[in-house]
This record gives sequence, structure tokens and C-alpha cells, in this order.
Amino acid sequence: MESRPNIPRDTDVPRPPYTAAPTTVSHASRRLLGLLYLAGVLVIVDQLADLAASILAKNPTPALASWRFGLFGLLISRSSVFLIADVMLFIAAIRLGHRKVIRSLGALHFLVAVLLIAGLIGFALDWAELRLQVPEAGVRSFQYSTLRAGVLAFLLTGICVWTGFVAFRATRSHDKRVASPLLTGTHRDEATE
Amino acid sequence: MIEARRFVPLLGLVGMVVFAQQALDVAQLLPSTDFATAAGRARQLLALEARSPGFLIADALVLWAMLTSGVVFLRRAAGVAHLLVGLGLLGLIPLFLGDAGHLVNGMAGGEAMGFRIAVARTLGVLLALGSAGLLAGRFLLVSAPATLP
Repeated sequence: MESRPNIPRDTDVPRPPYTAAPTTVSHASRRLLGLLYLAGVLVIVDQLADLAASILAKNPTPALASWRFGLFGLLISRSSVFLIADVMLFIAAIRLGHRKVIRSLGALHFLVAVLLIAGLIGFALDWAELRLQVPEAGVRSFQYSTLRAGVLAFLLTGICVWTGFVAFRATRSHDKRVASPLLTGTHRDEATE
Repeated sequence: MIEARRFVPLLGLVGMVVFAQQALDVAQLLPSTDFATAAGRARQLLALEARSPGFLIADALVLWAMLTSGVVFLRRAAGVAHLLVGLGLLGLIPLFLGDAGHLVNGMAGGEAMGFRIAVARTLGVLLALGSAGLLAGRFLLVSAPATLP
């Protein structure tokens, strides 16, 4: 029987723990990562302003099911840009070791998840109300748009919940003895941020 | 210490959701597209080209997550997919040029100029992304497996 050469696979190679600490980032990189924060925030603010302009351009009528249905579809259609800005913020926070920022982003993601679930329920109710009013020619397009927005909203909710959990789990402090102010005189969190 | 590795699967998932959204947007145009005519084909390709930044970012996020996780099987699959997509994009160039040539004959001065610019942009994107796809496929298939920091 032919023996296999003992070549280590990529998955066998021991790797150092993949952690990000502020000490591993140079001063110049810190400045660039700070700009990444700014860029992420700017993208989100720009998208929100654009959305507000689109919504307020016509007379908002929240009492109408068709208006609410369209609004949810419009919000979901912008989700890619928000996700990319989200990635930018997380990269900056992880590389800079900003635990509190990551935890705040995690909490924000839980809040967005709750809003998305509420929006998804409202969207389903509006769909049930509107589907009988859609003319025959537009039924297929209406169904496709509904399915697209529903699937994306469902995936986004999952991402938000998962991100919230990961943000809190990844920033847990394991070594409480070092963090004790009674032993060191300073809080470790304050020293790292 | 922040356990950054926990975020890697999320990075891949975000990439896949961005990719799915772009694909669904392009697919929405498909029922109204007439692939039998040059105008229909060119319109669909122009719509695809307009979505290329989203596809590119989604691809970068998925590749980043995949290379960080260091799964060799996925790396090879992504290499083959990139080679095929790269070849497909380069193969579209002569077809698109033929269709665009048919369409520009029926256009007047200003309209033709605008269309030529759109065609030049689309050709540039097809050429750049096709070549990048081939290079990425070669990198993923040939180079030694390593994980990103």
C-alpha cells in the first residue's frame, strides 16, 4: 500500500490567534483607519440623506399600504451600500482595538434587527392587502419585487442578529485579574482605548 | 484582545448578500429583455455593467473571508469560478462590439456620441474585469495556500 507523503495541509498549519490589538497598528495606519471610520459614517449619512430626499420629494402618505410597501422596498434596495459601510466601520474598530465602539455597533445591530422584523411583518401585511389590487399585467413583477425584498430583509435580519452576538462575544474580556484596578491601578479598557 | 476571527464568516455572508442583491436586480430585467435583438442584448449588458462595482465589492469580501479562513477546497472552487467568469467576460467583447455597431448606425449625432462613450466604458470594464478574473483565478489555483493576516 502506497504511503502518503507527510505534507501538512493548510488547515494543519498552526496559526497564531487572529486577534487585533492597538499595539500592532502603526501610527500612520491608525490615521488611515480613522479615515475609514469617517468614510463609513459619511456613506451612511449620505445614503440616509438621499433616502430622506427620495421619500420627502413626494407627499408622504404613511396611511396608504402602497406607500408603506414602496418605502420598505426602497429601504431594502439600499441595503448593499449600508452593509459595505458597516464593514468599513467594523474593520476600523477591530484594527484599532476599539472594544466599546464594537459593542455599540453590536447594540445598534440588535436595534436594526428589531426594526427589520417589525418592518418585515408590516411588509407582509401590506402585501396581503395590495396583492388583490394589482392589475393582471403587473402581477409577476409585483410578486418578484415582493420576494426579492422579503428574502433580502430576512437575510439582513439574520446578519444583524449574528453581528450583534459576535460583536459582544468577540470583545469579552477573558483575563479579569489583569483588568482589576485594585492590582494595576488603572482599568485595562481605558489603557487600550 | 478582540477575537477578530469570529467576524470572518460574517464578512463572507455580507459579501454573498451584496452579491445576491446585485444578481436579483439584474434578474429583474430578464423577463423584459429580448435576447433575439441587438438592442435587447446591449441593454442587458449595459445594466450588468452598471452593477459591476457591487459585484466587485461582493467578490472582494467573499474572497477575503475565504482566504482568511484558509479552506483549500473553497479556494480552488473560487479559482475555477474566476477563470470561467474572466473568460466569459472577455468572450462577450466581440459580441457586444457587433451589437453596438448595429445600433450606432441608426443613431444621430449627439445620441451616437453618448452611446459611443457608454460602449467604450463597457468595453473597458469587460476587458479589465475579464483580465482581473483570469489573474485572480490563476492566483487562487496556482499560488501556495496561505491565509491573509
